[in-house]
Amino acid sequence: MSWRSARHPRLGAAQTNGARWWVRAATPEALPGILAALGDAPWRATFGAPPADANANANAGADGLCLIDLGGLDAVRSVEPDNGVAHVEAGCTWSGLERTLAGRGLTVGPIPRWLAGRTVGETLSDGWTARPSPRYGRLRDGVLALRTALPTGLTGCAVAPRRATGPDLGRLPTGAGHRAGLIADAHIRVWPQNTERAWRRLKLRGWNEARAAAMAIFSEGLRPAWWCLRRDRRQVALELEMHGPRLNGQLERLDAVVDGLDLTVHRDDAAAALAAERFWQPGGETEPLTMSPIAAVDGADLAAGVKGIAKAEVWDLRPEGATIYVPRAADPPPVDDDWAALSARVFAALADGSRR
Amino acid sequence: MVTPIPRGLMDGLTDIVGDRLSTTPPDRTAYARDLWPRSQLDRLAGDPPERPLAVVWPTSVEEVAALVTLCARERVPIVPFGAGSGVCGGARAVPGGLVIDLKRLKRIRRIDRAAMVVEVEAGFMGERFERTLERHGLTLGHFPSSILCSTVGGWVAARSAGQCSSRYGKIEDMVVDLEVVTGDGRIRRTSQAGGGLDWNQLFIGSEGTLGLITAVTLRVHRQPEARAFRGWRMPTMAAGLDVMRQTMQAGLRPAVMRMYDPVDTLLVGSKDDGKSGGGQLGKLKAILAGTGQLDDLKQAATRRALAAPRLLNFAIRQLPETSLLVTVSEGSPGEARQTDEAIAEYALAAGALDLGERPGRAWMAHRYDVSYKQSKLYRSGCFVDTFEVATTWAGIEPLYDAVRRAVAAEVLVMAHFSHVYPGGCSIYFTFAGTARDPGRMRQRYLRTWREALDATVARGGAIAHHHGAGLSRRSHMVATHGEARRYFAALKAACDPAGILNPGKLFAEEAL
Repeated sequence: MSWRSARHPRLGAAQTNGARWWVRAATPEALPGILAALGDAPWRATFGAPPADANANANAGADGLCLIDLGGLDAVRSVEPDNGVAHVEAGCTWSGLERTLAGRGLTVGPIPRWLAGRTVGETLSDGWTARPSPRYGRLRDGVLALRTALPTGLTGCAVAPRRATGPDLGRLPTGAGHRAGLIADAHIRVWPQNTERAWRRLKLRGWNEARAAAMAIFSEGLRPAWWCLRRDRRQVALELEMHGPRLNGQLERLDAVVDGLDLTVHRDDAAAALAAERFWQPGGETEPLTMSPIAAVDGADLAAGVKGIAKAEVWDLRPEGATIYVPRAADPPPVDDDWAALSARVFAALADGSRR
Repeated sequence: MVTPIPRGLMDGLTDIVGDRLSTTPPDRTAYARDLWPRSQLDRLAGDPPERPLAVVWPTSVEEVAALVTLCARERVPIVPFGAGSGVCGGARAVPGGLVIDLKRLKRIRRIDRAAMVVEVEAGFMGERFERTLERHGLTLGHFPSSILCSTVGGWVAARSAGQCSSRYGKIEDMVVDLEVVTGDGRIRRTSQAGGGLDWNQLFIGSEGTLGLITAVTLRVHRQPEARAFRGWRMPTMAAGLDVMRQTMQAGLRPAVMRMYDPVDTLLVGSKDDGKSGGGQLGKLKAILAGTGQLDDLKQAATRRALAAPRLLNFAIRQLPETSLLVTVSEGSPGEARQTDEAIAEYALAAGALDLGERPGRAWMAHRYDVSYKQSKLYRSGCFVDTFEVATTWAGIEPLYDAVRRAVAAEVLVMAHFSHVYPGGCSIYFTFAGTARDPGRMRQRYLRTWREALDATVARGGAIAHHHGAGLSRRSHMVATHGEARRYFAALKAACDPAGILNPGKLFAEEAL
């Protein structure tokens, strides 16, 4: 059944397909009013037009679910190059943000292609905020402030690089699946674009040797824009991209580390190709999720973690751990029952408090 | 005199900790407060902080869990206590409450060199922890000026920062896993949470209000092989701030970038000019820091000077804008050299004068010269305190000016800029004042804080960078968090259903 204009008993003008309601938010500031009007009625956030098959049936009001569409909130509200901050609405995609930033000589850093078409609000809400960049950090850590809509108003806190004003309350909606309110907009850290770039590919005999090489590079204080371990026939390759400024100095140090490890280095070719394949470029296309995280492993357990997996890639490589990706969509990591119960109590208390 | 502690509670506590319990007045007095200067002023004004019912010293996480379970059942408030060096009242006792001193949880449980992580119990003292790591060729990279008198658990509970935060991050950047006892007495590990909420970032900074942190797994680093020290005389503060911003936004990670405002430059410069003793201004700086000697003559002179803060601050405004920038770059020899060279390039382009290694080395030598004893100024009828805020680069100078203006009529104020990030930095104000009697001194102190916090909120700054909120910033927590205070209320209801964990800290209960 198609969508048509109708009058929602609490919201007024809206769209309905007979079973569900759909309302599009005009501004982040309008969101608390929508939530307050809905009260206890069920709602879900969507980004973009409602799907044609959104549980349409002739039984009008069957579940009464209201889809709150944040797709229209796609503005980059401001860019502050000196502060290294962009203020972006929840419905803006990462590629849309990057396009705006590119015109100002800025970037948020490497964005995986599968993430590029997703919205900022969606990825933060789902907790899909990993980004395998030692130089630019994780996307989650690049969120300097987050505004969320509750029925009682918008949350907000100072835009500051760090703070010590209790728990990081702005972090609560991250990974909460909109159960801690609707993410309305965010202040995201941005960086000057680097035109100085170089790629390296190191061939190694196995996962343990690969990890040792990565840690030697890390210990030297080098921070690649991204790095990845992947199996290449019988060998494992460590591929990475370095960004300037002062790129030559970094490469001298990298070469010194590699010389010390007695490894074969290939320049530019395969690693650059991997970058083009995996990371979104201005003007390029986004793609659906093709590589999914299946496990986070402790650093020392890497070899065991990838054992038996024919085509594995290891990203988010840190001394204390790494994330293994495989070429298929995977479920998000399970949540421990005890912690899930505690989270549920938080959301219940929040809902209760927001009603009062 | 022994406090009238309920029999059932006493029996329960004894069952758990045996004789590691005290109800004696000296212990209860010692644990009634931390180093929040307000508590000292309260005492001078004849209004000392209330004492807890009792103090206990558990030695294991199981004992902590049993204590929390007992207190939840008996509805007895708990204040967790580390080394007591907090400066915001976060560990101030709650009347009728129990203080749980965690310093006997002091084991290093695991040093994993392959994963470069260390699991340490919360009561481990900071300086001893760093020395232990050093013996293994490692460092946490966390060097708060309180390192001699603070615990690892305290660092995490207050969201602390060390002097090398620009390279290693704040404590919240270092935590891999937390062991926490929540208000229901359960022992939880954040690493077991799986997907969903980022529990580490919700417990870090919670100051004992959501759970008692009993152990922490932290990322560690190899000891730096090399260090490069440098001092720069910047022609203006603005020029220095710009050098700091350019350095961090270029992706460089100096261990220290610290710039003093003109008055602090004068004081530090006189101390660090290489002459022994440091001169009169250096001595004033030492007095403010709590380490200098203060004879009767100096006491009277200091009091007289601080009695005219508006005049002092006006005189300061007439100083040349010259500011001292101190940098320390470290890591491998190559990294230290390249970082130092890059900073030099930015500084020279900004018209700075290279002062060589001495200022950096002098800073390093004196970096813990903040006494855990409160400043001797209190004895001479004066007070001194510090106030750290943070904001984005464009907001730094306006915030600095706004806070100075707001408190200029009350206190002498100076500042330095440190904890430098790509997006901004911290401003660390030091202020000192006096009044005719302790009661008026307390009023002036409280006015100063209120005006400084008002100015920070009005300028959109973060009201705390690394000291925490405790009680000193509680009045402005709603203004700073807005509707997000409901998140705290929900976390509190879920994690501490009996409402016993450090009640009244961070947010006033009526504000939630």
